[in-house]
Amino acid sequence: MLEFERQAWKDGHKRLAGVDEVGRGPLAGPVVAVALVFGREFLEAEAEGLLSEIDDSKKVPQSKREAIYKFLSSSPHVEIGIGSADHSEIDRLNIANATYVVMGRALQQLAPLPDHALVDGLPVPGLPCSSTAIVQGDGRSLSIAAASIVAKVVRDGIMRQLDGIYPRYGFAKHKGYGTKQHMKALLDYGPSPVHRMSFRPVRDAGRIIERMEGME
Amino acid sequence: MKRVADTDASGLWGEDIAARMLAGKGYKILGIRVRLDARDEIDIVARDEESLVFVEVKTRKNEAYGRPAAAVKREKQHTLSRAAVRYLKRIKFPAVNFRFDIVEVIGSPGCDNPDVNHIENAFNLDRIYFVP
Repeated sequence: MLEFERQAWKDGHKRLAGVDEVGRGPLAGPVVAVALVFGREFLEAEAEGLLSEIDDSKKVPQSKREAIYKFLSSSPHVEIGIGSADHSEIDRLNIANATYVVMGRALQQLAPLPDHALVDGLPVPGLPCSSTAIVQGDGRSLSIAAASIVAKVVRDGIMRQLDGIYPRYGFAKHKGYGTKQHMKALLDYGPSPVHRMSFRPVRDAGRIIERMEGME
Repeated sequence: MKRVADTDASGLWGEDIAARMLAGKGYKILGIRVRLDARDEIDIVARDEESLVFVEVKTRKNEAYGRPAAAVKREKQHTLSRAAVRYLKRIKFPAVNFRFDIVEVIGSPGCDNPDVNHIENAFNLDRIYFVP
């Protein structure tokens, strides 16, 4: 899990961030990115120790994600930058651009700026430092995996808050993804103020409801 | 300005030498120059078996001004104590043993065979601090 980190250190980069994003697919809520910098000595000393349970956030169960999040956010050897864009910014920029923007914001939160970023997925334009894109990076780089876990926990927390404000949709459960329950709620109640209107299923649900109201 | 840069390079070099020496003794190096806030930084944080060790590294070109450890005065012990408490607070005060060590490095960047002296448990936590 440190192959890419070691390569970047060898290339002379000192302050190295792992970057990942969560919430590209959901129909509602923000997209959140996290940039996370490990102290190099700490990462090397603990990769097989304290950090050995860190993996792609999709492979780690929720309770363990929260424990890892707590540990990372309180460690003096870990720095975390968080960036987010809400539903309206996603509608304005489109989701791909919004994802690029939030990754940049997450990196900007770290002072001083990292020398280099390991980014999950495909190359990201417009980042404030040099970067290496790693496909399936959240399972191949410990820094990206840690960022993915923090991003997931942060976004889930936001979705639980939105669930408190718009309880009809079940955001706490599906986190905005297009599950059957979510689609049904969309058809029953129409989009909430935090739905991404630029997303097809949301728009379609709105139209179907308008048409049904016209028939009454 | 040159003096400042020299001092900085010498300090970095000394910290590196000290970390290697501690790693050679089987310590786990957790961090070098661990910054906790604007004014608190710990030269080296390491783990020696079950103990957390906060290390102050003192680098000198030679012994003309006395042994480097003599430079760790009360004032410095106070700031190190404060930094250590910040560190322990960040990790939420788990029940760990901790201690303060000093590593003296006598030499300068490029010198092959620096004199390295490790003083375990060099001083105690400043009494104004309390650790639960």
